[in-house]
Amino acid sequence: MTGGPAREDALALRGIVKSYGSTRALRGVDLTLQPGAIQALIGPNGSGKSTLVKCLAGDLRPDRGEVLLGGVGRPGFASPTQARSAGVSVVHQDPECFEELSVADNIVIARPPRRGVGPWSVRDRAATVAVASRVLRRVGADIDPRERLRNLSLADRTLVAICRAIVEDVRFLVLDEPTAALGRDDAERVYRVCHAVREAGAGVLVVTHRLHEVVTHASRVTALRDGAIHADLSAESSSVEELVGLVADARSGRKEVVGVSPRDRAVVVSTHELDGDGYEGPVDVQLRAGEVTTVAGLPGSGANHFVRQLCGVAARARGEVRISHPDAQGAMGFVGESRRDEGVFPDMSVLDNMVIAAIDGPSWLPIRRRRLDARARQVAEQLGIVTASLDAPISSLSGGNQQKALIGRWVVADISVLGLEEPTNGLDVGAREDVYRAVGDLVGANKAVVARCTDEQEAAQLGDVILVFTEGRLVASLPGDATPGAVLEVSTPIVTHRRGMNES
Amino acid sequence: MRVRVEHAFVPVTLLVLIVALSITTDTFLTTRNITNVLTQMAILGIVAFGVTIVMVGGAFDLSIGSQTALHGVVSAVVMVETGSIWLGVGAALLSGLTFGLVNGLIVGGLAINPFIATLGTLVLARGLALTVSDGKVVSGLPAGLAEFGRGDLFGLPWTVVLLIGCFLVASYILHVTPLGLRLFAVGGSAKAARLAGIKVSRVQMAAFMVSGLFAAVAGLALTARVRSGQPLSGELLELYAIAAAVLGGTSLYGGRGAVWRTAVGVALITVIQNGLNLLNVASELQMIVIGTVFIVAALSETLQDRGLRFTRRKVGVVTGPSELVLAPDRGLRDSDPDDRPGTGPERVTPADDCAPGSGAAAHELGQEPVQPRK
Repeated sequence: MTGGPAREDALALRGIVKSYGSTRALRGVDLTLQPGAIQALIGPNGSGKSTLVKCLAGDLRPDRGEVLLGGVGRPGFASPTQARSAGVSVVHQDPECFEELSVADNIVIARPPRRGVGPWSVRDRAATVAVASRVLRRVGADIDPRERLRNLSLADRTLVAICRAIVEDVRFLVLDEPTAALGRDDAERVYRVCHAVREAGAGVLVVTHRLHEVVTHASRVTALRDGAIHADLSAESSSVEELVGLVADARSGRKEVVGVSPRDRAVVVSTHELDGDGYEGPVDVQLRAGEVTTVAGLPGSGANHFVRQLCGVAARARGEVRISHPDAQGAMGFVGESRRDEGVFPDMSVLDNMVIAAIDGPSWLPIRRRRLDARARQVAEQLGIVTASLDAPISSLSGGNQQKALIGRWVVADISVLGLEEPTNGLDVGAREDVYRAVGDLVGANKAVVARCTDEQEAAQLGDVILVFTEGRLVASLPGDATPGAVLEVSTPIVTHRRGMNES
Repeated sequence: MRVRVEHAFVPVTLLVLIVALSITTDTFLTTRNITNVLTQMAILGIVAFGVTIVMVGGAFDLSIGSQTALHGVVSAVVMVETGSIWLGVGAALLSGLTFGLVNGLIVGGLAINPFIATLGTLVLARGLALTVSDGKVVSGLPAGLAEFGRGDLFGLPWTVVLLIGCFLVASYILHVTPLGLRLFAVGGSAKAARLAGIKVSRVQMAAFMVSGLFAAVAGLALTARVRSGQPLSGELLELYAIAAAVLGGTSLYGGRGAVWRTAVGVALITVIQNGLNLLNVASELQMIVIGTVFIVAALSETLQDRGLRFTRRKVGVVTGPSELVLAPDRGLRDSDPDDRPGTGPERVTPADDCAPGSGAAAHELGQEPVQPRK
């Protein structure tokens, strides 16, 4: 029970429960936002932060619980429009913006100023620019309202998105990871806007992974864990170390599941002065057979760019990746972050999804199905894919089983290096352990695995070697016995200077 | 194998229609009429099988109608010039493969949206067909061709044999070979396909070449049947072909479809036309009926799709976007025969192998004579 007594003008969530299928994302959350204050919401991935934000935005309707605002209780907002007219504005992570429209048009898009009467009214461009300028000035953003949005930097776009959220009267502003992809200076600009909004009397809720921002800017901090409030305390009197302890939790990782891999195996992949967009090189690292290398780093740290370039999925600017395998083309597999966009072929059967990367031979001759299918069935059984039939479309499977099938795709293709992005993204505990087991099987079969994990918990528990990226640089290479706290500490920008780069 | 409820409408309608027509008319269930229906199906079917392959790969081929005319005219010109049927056949197939390659290079190689790209090559192919034929009907074809056009194999007209052959070849490509499985993958998610190591542009290129080849076969069948090269034949054929594929359950967004399902879609369109002819319904009215059927079919599937998605959401399964909104009604709205010169109910259609008065069918089979250019 948190938040203190609800004032009449506070926004209070009471006993919010939300489930997706059999997964309970929120299990009775109480949260109170006070006007005129900045509150932070922290928690590990999958703790329910995004679901909570969606409930506030009116994107999702809670299964149970109520939202109290201005003394009025309701079972959640029915739509984003309703949330907005009640004075709750949400800026999502990667907000949808209109690239080809001007900054001013983007800001007033919900209700463009008009002149004239009723159906005869037309858009008032002068008023549009005036309204936009006023908002931009209010938040202290030096952006030309006539500029096209696509010409703006990421930080400026974030500010425009916030301006869009506050152009009409807003009583509560919710920002979902607004600084995730920004550098420190740009993040400060975002917080200046938050303070401007706070001073105008509105309440601000910021969801963030960056704990030093919490300590610096927020007055209260709420930590979520497994869909429930884990802690709620004054942010001013807490330290980054204290918050690290709140965010890190004691889940069983791969090492608990399958044990630590033996060291000193052969190098399979090595990068040479790798350098590219999204991070600063040169980066020289080695992936060894029979080892899991995790790449940790907050969103925007460059870890994702690095892993994609390492796996040959994104173009690299400079440097090279050497693969010591006779068939370098077919040596590497990659399972991307988004199963839906980059992984599964939804209408194809589980079996077809698993054999697709292993098909060889001429395009015009029949697929040698018997051998491939037998192999895929064997792998499916090994990985414990639960389905009535492997001939069912893969979209009928749960996320965890889909993920196992995607890893299985590369097992069937017999690759020697597998790249993973957020391998347990959106999975529940059981599925998570299955995925860790699958990764354990892979390294047990002497494959090299590289996994990008935003979650320090996972990075620490999955990796035999943990590479940590912070603000576009590889700052540390930690041994496999490093604690999640140690990983988080290194990946949190403000403490990066304490540690140098360890020798790998 | 799971039965997809959302695709039951079209096969069931087809069955009901066949039963109803068998009862209400004494002419439908005759050998002559069934042969007639199959013959009418041939051109549309062959082209539709080709476009199904392209559509499963997530692309469109709007050029196939014009391509049918182009390859047919090419074969006719070569036959007239050389006097050899087989050289003509070879020329048409080569022309089909080449044109398909060009389509594939534009779409796969230059990464131009297939809708736009093949809209361009649609016009281009028509222009080429008119250029090759000098804007006239190419006549004076070798006598042997007439026999082919009229002849049969075990009682089946040659065009029907071609239709069945193309059905088998298309099914083989789409459902047996690596190319087929990769097409399903590319159509399902090009991004995921790339990450799975599939060479997306090459796969799409191959699909366009198959489609070009099938258009060439359709063009040959047409040339043999009307014993002349018709540069203006096959207009709007592409839209009927896409409509047939979509009626059968091929996704407009790719990744889903089957050749046999397209065959059912083609059969439905043809049986409706044939039935309306047998019932002496005027061709203007036929178009209205067929247009309505398309929309109802699309509606029934989206309604069921929505219903299914609602129940599926409860168990937390992600489903794709609903489909079936564009092609069927488009295909018909644009197919008013009176807009074009040389067609319309008052024109006499060759009566030898086509049911009387079938405006749409006769038109897409290219049986109206082309008016010589002034």
